Amino acid sequence: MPALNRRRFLHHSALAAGLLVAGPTLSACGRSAAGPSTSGSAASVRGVAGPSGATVRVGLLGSPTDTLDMTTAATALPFLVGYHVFDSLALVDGAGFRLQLAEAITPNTDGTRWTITTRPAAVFSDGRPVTATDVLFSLGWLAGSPVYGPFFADLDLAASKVVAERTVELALSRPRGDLLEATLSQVSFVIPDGTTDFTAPVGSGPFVVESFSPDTGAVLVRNEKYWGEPALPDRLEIRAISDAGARLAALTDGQLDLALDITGTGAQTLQGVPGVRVLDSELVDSAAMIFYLNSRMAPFDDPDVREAVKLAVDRAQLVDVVLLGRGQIGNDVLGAGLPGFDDTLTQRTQQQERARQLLAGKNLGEIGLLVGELTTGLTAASELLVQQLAEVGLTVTISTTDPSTMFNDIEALTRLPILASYVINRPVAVNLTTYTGSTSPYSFSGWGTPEYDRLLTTAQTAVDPAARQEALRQAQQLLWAEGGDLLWGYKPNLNASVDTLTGLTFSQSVPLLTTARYT
Amino acid sequence: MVTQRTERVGLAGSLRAVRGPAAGVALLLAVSLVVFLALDSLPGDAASQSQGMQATAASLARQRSAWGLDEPVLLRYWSWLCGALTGDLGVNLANGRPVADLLAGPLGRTAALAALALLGSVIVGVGVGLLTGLRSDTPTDRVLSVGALLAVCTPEFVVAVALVTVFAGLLGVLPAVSLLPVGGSLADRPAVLVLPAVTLIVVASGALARLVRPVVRAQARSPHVEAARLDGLPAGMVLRHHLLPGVIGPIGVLIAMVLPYLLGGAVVVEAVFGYPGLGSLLVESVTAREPAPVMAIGVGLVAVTLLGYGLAEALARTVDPRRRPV
Repeated sequence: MPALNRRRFLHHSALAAGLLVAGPTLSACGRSAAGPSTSGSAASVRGVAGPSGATVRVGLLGSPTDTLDMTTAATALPFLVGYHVFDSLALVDGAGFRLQLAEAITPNTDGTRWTITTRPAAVFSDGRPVTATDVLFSLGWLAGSPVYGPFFADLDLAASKVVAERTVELALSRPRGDLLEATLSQVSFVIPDGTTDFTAPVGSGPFVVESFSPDTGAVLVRNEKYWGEPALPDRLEIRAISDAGARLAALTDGQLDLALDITGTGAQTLQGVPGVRVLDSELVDSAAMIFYLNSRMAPFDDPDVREAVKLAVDRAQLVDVVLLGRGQIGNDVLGAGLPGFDDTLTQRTQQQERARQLLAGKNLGEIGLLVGELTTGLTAASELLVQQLAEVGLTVTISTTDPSTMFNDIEALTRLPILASYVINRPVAVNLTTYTGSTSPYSFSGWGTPEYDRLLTTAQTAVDPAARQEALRQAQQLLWAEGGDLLWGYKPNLNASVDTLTGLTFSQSVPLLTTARYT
Repeated sequence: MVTQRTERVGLAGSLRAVRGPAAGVALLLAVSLVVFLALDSLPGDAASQSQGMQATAASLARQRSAWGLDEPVLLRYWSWLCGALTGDLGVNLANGRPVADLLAGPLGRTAALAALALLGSVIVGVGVGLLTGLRSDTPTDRVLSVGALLAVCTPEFVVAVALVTVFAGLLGVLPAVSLLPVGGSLADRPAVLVLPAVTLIVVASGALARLVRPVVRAQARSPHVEAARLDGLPAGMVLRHHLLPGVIGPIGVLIAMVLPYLLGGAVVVEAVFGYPGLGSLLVESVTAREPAPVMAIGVGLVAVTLLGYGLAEALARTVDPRRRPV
């Protein structure tokens, strides 16, 4: 008997690990081999365009512990609900930064005080008007949370105040010109003053929560009191399915209309399956795949070695092999495809001869690389990097670490010369100031110069938008030329839907379904 | 035969050790401490897991202090224990949800799945075990025994995919993914239970059949059954009065031992089918390093296991006079 138990134990632990990798593939194979007996039909039955009749059923990553409190959201489900039920003061999408619930967001002359006015027509779904008191309460709620607190580090809540029914004045502890881009467009959900219960939260967004349970998901219905364009779908059914393969199976099984975040291999199994399709990948909904070259230590304290490595990699091959061709090559600066990105930067391509010249005479020895599979592909990319760098005479040795806990010991991440990691693709106004510069706690390359840091400060503090953009442009040039980020590619989040579903847009990797319709 | 006996003596000894509520409670306490220490010894904690890539040394320190994770582990265990003994199972740290709330739905669904799987495994597993034990070394035995071996050796995962391919794909009669209706419950869509339950039944009854067979086989060859048969008693009577009384106790014990597997196997099966049960909650909670839900589920599973053994032992005593206390 003990033998049985031990065998079972090993069996389960191996399976648990195996499921993560093989699960999606195998279960997807099972389905596609069988053919989608019901897929598409459900959509065509309900396939009513226009603002009535349509239901969109979405499956995405959720957890049995989810709540709809955005400040503790850890999976995708609460965010999808939040983006549809709560209004944000401002949002960012591929087209740019735009005001949403706010009618105006304006700084004073030195950027230390900001005035936010909300739209007069905005009401919460329970009928109460959205007031400045609600805005101030909501910003305090976000600023007080561990996850969003850093975004509001310069906000002086005690000195901020309501100045009119719909107008709030925010006081900042240092000048910030980029409050809209770097903070409010990133997170600025507005909830009614005094909200503590998030079981069926009230918002002023295009949908209302009809029901929510982490076990069975959320049902949202159109908010008839919404101030803006009414949402096209009547109803969103949002289901938590933690396994990517199960999400795909539920789509081909006809139980979902949209499956978010499927795997690359899962996407391949959908080829030729009638009634469903993989959505076009978008940079706005992608992850930047990066090798951080640690400029704090040898050999990457030498700018020639950083440049040599950046020239030695074959980015196209990395995208083809690791991302299965679904993705775009990177150019060492975050934020491609998003507002503020400098498109005039020359795309770095593989130049092995130049790399060899830069490395000539430098006796570098073995270079250590640390990787944890934080997102699928990092390990494969590291292995390919080893081969590519070997071609210019560099020897890289890989150390692997447990991705689920690697950020528990942050210092350990900077002990080796190369770290493989990723960053959600966000606009440069957010990402450069957050992830780069010599004072950023998240800068694993540690690279920065006084000039670069000064540019980042200007990008944050200058009130004139043109001055901020110019600082960001110069910072991008510097980062591209000298920095320690080897951003080799953008890995799109892969989503699949019934092929009749159209009209999705994305904000911060969250699909916005207010304009979704069936054709 | 010698091995068989040794195993049974060892088993009886261990059963005696957990006999009685006091011993059971003591064992449960010990297990709870081990689980708590084990979770604590894993790299990372609830603070680092909730902050993920956003973590900085300062933000981690703040969070740990806010959640009391910077206190000594034994002190934290003690406060968990005091809470648990007074019926307070604690909260999920990352969002403050009470564990009792978290458990309510998944517990019922896993119990329904495990109960259905237990029933099926007993019918199939014991049935096949009896048949192969009574007809040992016949073609029936060989075919069924190989079948049982195959069932045991096939991972739940593969069984599940095969079942999905046939019943959801080719035949289209059952859902491939066990989604509950939004805002509804299991009762609104019991069909979602079928494939997960059958998956567990296939594997568990294979194991059960292989364990029951030697017990029945040995008993069928024992002198008193042999004597009854030689006396010319009808086969049915021999089975009912001479063979079954001797094997029902050991079989009860074997069934009780399958119970923990059914709960454990549910973890894997729930993931494959997206079935919202205790398994997925446990996996999520271990990954998030959340002590309260892990403790509630872990200690709960051990309690059910002990209860299973206790029942098996009580059953064994009832049917076998030699085991009754003098």
